Amino acid sequence: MRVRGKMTKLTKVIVPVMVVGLIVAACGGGGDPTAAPPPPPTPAPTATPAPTATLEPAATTAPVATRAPTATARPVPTPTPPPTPVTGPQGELVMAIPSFGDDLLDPNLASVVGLQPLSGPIYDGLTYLTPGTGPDGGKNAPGIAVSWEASPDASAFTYKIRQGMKFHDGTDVTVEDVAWSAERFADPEAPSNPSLIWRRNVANIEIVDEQTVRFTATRPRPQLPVGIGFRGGTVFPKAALEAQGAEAFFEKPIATGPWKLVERQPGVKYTYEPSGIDHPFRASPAFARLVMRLIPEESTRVALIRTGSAQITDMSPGSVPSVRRSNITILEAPGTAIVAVQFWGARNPELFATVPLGDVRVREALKLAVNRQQIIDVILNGFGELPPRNLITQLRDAWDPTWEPTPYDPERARELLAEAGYSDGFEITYFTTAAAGFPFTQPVIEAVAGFWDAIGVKTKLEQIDTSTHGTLTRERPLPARIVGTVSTQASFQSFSIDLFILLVCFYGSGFCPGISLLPAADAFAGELLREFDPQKRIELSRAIINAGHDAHIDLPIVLTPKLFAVSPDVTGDATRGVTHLGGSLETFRPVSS
Amino acid sequence: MYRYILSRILQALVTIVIVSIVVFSLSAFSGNPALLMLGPDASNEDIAAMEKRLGTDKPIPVQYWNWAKHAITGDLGDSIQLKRPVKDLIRERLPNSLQLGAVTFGFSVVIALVLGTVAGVMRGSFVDFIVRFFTNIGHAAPSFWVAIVAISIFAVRFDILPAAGKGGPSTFVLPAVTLGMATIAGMMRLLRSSMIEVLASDYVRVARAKGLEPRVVILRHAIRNALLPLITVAGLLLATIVTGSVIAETIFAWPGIGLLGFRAIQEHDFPVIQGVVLIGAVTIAFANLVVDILYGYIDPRIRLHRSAS
Repeated sequence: MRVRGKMTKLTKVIVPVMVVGLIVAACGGGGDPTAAPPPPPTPAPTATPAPTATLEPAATTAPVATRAPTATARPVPTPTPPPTPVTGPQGELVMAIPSFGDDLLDPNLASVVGLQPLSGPIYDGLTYLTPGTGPDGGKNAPGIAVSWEASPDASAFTYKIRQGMKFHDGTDVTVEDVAWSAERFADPEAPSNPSLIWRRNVANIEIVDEQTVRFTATRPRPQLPVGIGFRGGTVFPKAALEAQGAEAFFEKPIATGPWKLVERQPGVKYTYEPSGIDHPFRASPAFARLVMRLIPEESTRVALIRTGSAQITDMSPGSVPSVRRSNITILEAPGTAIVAVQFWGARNPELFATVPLGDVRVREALKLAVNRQQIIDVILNGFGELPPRNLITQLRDAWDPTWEPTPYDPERARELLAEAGYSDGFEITYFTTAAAGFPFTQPVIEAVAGFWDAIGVKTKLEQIDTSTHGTLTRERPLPARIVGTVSTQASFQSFSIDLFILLVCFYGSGFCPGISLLPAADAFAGELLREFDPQKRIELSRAIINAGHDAHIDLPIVLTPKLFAVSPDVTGDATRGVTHLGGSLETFRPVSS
Repeated sequence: MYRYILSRILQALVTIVIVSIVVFSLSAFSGNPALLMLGPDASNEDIAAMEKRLGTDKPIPVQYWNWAKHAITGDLGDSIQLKRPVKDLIRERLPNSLQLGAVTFGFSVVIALVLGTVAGVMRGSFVDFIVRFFTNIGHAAPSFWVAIVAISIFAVRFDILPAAGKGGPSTFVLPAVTLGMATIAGMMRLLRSSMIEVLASDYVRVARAKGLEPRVVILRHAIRNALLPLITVAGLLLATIVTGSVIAETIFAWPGIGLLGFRAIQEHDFPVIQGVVLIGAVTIAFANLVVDILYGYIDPRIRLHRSAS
């Protein structure tokens, strides 16, 4: 009897738990409609992409330079978009992305503006950088502004606003909206990094007339127009934002892009629909819905493409073999990241005497010891190029086609070590960091350490996160243990040298990875910031980069593309895909069978 | 009994406070939130101003005290990256983790109950061998590997289950199986050995001697007592399922607190990390408490023993 009584109590505990579990399983909680495979994009007639003609700027401040041809043969299929009959947008385009970034659409809060995958579909800038790798790529092109002029001393920039441009709610974009949005971005209370940079660079914003707004820089800054378009040029309707309040407004922001946000599930998915307004400088969406889903795991994202549950995702070179076994298309945006070794010890004179890396011959030896082509072939499945210099790609104005990559020459490396007095080698500890989205960094670094081991340099790798690395490298002088780091940094495939300098060493704090602390390079950088002549700016940029190269302050290992796995039933322009495709998803269209 | 419950509650509270101190201290030492928010190009003045605004310019004990004061009222601070209250983020995602945990726990219990009993009753048989084989696999196979293989087979190759996301009942299957593999294995092994022990006990022998059918002996006498050890670990396993779902939630893009915690760690979002870990600590402490109380309730020997001592 006692057993029976006890078991009755036990049963009372177990059974309800099982029943609740099974009921929940049956009900499934709140539904996520995207969890089930969406209907495949209709290959039926869709709208013709036909972006309207881009107006020529009255004056561009971006230097126009001849750049090297950048097209490279790739072992990937190139989809050819077939002609499609004209009807309205149909079907659904689902993109699986590894991170939503900040999940924030208010530029005053987001840590990155203009590059967010979520805001790309709905926001425009005053200007934008043209996509592509050809001679027209990477130029500051008209956006909400049709033209702009710089004052002779490059301290003021006057923009003409496009007439007839409309917000998603049908109201006109006015010069007041432009100025007010830029002023709002400069709010001293805004905690975001982009707002901080904006405040540091822009002193004043004034309305000149009904069509014109002027930005005055805190000091002469020839490269500011790129920053204005990139950072502070997102325009919102003043009346609507003030009426709703920022929190409510940015739940479904009203802006000017070809898509409008219709549903927001932070951390899960964002759903967009075409704005319904003819966009003057971006293509009209071919799909009736765009869904961005957060899928952190790469193999899951690729599985979604293979099952038809998503049409686009980004992927790393490591996934190429499995993708190639299926009929998935690989699109690439070349030159989006550089894996590089930084010889920090080379930049701190106090360390020169204490560490082997203080000897330029040692640094050169470490460069010669690495078989970078093998790394590209084996680890990156062929998706990479040998960069002849660090911090620059062939897509930038200052690219010099005569530059040659550092060769692989282990014998010469051993000789240099012997000349420097290290014929028996030495031991070093290297810090490694990896930016999000570059899972191949660690195997690349381990391969580099292996090549160094082969010439007698025993390398210990210590992985640290980027914030810790950032904290360490802010210290002056650099801590002695930071003799070097190996990291992957997102490069900016289509950006001109203007933005390169703006991003790299123009934020006023003196933090200038890759260049600073090398006196010769710093001197050229100082001149560059004051120089307005495009050709001289290119020459100074090359001088900076060559100074670093000649001093062997770093070793660019590989220049990698950003890869996108794309379902065979859609195609589009991935060349703007620096870290995502948010700003060019309107170019994707169904492929007719 | 009340004294027993009170002592267990106090133990749980002490555990939670210790965990919160450890997590807060480790977070404070692992990075600077102001630098994360403003980026590497911020000047020292900018960072100092932001530190003052965030309160991170104060000594760590003071920071902890300020955080704990608010945490008691449910205010876990704001996310650095998402600029939203942490309690709201947890409130949005915890139900999803609880749903997945309940499903996982429910089907784990059913499977373990059936197979563990069968293996115990048929000890040494081919069925027992098979069950033990899968038990070992369940323990040994890493859950991330199980998840990826499950996606490859059931989502990609056969296309019968969704690969990711939370939706209808079918979306629960793969995450629950991944999450439940080790749990099922543990429960099965426990139940099998418990069943073997019970079947060898005197009262079962008496029941058999009385001529009862084997089915009656097993279902009425053996299995009920064999379940007792299971309930000891069941609460802990449930808590582990809910709080330890980081891998399954990340791979299957399940919008629960595991994925929230994973993302917070990646982005050094310290307030969210602290909130998620605190919720985990509370869940486990609560599960322990419930199990202790329940066990004392179900098995009077325990509370009697404590009373006597």
